[in-house]
Amino acid sequence: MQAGSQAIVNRRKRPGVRRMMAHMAVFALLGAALLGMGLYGYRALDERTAEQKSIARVDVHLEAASEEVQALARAAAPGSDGEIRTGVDSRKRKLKESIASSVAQGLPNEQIARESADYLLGGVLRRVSDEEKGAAISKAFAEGMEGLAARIAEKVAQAESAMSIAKARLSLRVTEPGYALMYYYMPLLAAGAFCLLFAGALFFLWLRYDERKRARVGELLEPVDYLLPFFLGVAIFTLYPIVRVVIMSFQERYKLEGTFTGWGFGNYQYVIEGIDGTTNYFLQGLRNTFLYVIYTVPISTALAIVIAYLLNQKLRLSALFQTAYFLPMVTSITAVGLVWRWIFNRDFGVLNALLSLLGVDKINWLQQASHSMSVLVIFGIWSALPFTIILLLSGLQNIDDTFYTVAKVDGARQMRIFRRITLPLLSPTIGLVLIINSISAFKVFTEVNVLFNGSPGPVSNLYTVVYYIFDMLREKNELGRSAAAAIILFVFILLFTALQRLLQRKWKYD
Amino acid sequence: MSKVTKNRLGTGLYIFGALLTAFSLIALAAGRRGALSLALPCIGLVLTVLGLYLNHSYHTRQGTARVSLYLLLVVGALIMVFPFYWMISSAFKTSAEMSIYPPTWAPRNWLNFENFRIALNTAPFEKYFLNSVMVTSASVAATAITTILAAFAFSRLSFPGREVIFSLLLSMMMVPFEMLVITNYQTIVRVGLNDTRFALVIPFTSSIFYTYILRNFFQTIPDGLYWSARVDGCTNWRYLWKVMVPIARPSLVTIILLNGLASWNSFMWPLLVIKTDANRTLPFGLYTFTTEVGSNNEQMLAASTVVVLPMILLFLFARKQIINGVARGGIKG
Repeated sequence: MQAGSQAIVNRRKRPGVRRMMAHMAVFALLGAALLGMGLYGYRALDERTAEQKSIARVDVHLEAASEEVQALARAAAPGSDGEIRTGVDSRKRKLKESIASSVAQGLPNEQIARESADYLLGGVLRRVSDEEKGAAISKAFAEGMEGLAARIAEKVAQAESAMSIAKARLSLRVTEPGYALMYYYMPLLAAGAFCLLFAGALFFLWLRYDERKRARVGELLEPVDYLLPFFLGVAIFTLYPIVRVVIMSFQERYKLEGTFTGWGFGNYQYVIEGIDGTTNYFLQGLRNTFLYVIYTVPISTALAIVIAYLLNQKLRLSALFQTAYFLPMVTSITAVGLVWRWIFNRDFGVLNALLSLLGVDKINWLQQASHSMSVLVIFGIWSALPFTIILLLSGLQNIDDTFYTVAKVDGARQMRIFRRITLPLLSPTIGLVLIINSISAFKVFTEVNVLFNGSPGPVSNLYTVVYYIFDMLREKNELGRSAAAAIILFVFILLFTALQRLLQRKWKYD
Repeated sequence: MSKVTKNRLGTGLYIFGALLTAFSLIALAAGRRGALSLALPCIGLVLTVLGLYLNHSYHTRQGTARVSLYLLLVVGALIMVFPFYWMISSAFKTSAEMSIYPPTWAPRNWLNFENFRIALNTAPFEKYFLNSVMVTSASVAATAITTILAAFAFSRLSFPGREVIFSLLLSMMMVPFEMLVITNYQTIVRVGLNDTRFALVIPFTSSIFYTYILRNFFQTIPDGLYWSARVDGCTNWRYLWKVMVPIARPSLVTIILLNGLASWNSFMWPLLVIKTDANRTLPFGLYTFTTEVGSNNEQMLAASTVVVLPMILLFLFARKQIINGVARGGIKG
């Protein structure tokens, strides 16, 4: 009896047990793969380092030898500097080849130094015409050769030890094959080790536990399976960037390649202070962005309240009206921005034509700096309206009808109902709309790009914060400064959100 | 004068007066100073007041309110739709028609497809379109899967630290994408995906926001359903796909639509990572078509009509879902 039930259990394992086994297998394989990739990257990088070391060795040998030989020869024979220099220079190219071959053979530094000094000396002696001076130089070299070779060798050794694997990693070029493996060898090794450890821990538990407990472990592992794909994306493209950008903003002049000049507040300082005597585009962008928020958000919200209120009445053809009002929301800004450009055209634009009916002269909307903000604001309001109306409309529809019925029975007028019932009950939605709209207005970028044909306004007068971030990131390759600007933007968004929440709470309880 | 005519007259008068006032005020604000432009708003105001005085009985007031409601809505709708009309009508104009001032309201020939032909031949819009379709469907599909799985785990499965982890995730939503872009750009370049279509998909395979929406919906599904299914021997996996996902279909449609719109219209990220013409998506391709090719306005508008048209069609067919989605989600599409 006992044996029979055991057999059944063995044949059909519990789902938890199967899950545990699968986890062990998958994590072991994954860990091995990651570890292998990391090791490959490390070895490739190590090779690269050795290569760069030998290149650096050749260069330093050459430089040090020519410097030292010149110095010694000059000291022995003053007054013939020119001849000595040409003598050394004439042999440099050939010397480089011979040093490279000796380095490749693995000869010791001192020997190479001695040979190259000898070789250069020959060149110098051939050029120095005065025989007395030549003899003096030869004599000086016969005496000082050992010291000279030692000095060169020391310089080379110093340069060699300065060349580390970390430096080689940063000097890699992004386009090299296998770059990712070499650059990310450390995280790869860490992730691989983690996976292997995890698989090992599971195996350890597997050995210690009986079938029931194994199934329990498998059940605990279930959420991991459901969350893993999600967390991979979040960890790599949201969590890591948040941490990394904060760090990056303190790495002065951080570049795409990963190089930076030092730690500190230099990026923030540059962003806020700019370069003396030139326009500080970040501050300009900050001012423009604030103006944009201050203009568009209240105007579009006010208009949207009115329109949403009207749309909320019992209407015929409400589907038609909805389509008309909400259409700008789905269409890409790049496409409709082009029409707005055409509408704002100075010579043939329909806006100037309409205004001329009222006797207004042609306005150069797009090319004149003083008008560019109005263009941006008009476009911004138009494109923000649909979204705002939708939110407010759904807020209006959530207001209980009985309020209105009671008010009407009491004989309240339309305007009074609107002020005393609709607005207060709508205020949470209005607050939400204000927050969402100002946050998205803070990030204005595409609109500027499209309206002004890829430049920040007609005379670089319409930078926005995000435009500045983008400019620093892509055109200037200054990731550190870009990060500093992004963090300042983030702080402003946070402050603004907090402020609006505060005001909203106050308004609600008044 | 009979009462009805008086009311009609009044209504007409005050609407006309209000419009006159509004437009002359706009003119005034736009910088036109003169005797006429100062007189016009005054005349308009007088007419408005007169019109309002003429129809002041209760019934007509209701009627007027009705009329003015529709009038306001129609005017607003015309303003909102006008750019689209202008885009499409200008796309059919010849370049000679484009340089008429004041502009004509409609093209002479509505079947003049010349601009479309030139625009589509100058830049590979069909390629852009295909890229957009591929990128959008890949990222929407990936996001839908990761979102469903994660929302299920966060709403149905129990594990230590669930709520803490979830609130941490929610707080990460505050960080603007513009900040993450810096490191993500670097990551994409390093992994060697720069200037490939993968770069447009891989960073957008999981979304905290959509997970949040779907989890909220999943939480409204009663527990009893789950436990009775479990008692009947249903695994979590089967329960998720056979019960929860079908119930949550409206929410899923919302998520997919919003995500699709965002992905289709995304501009900054492609501008950053894509360089080759063959890898561009529609909005970005259109943008480079106008900035780099430096084409004529009518061709530009023809191209943007082509880009906008699918979205308009989508909106016409999925209006309710999109509006509900935006209202529920509270983010821009």
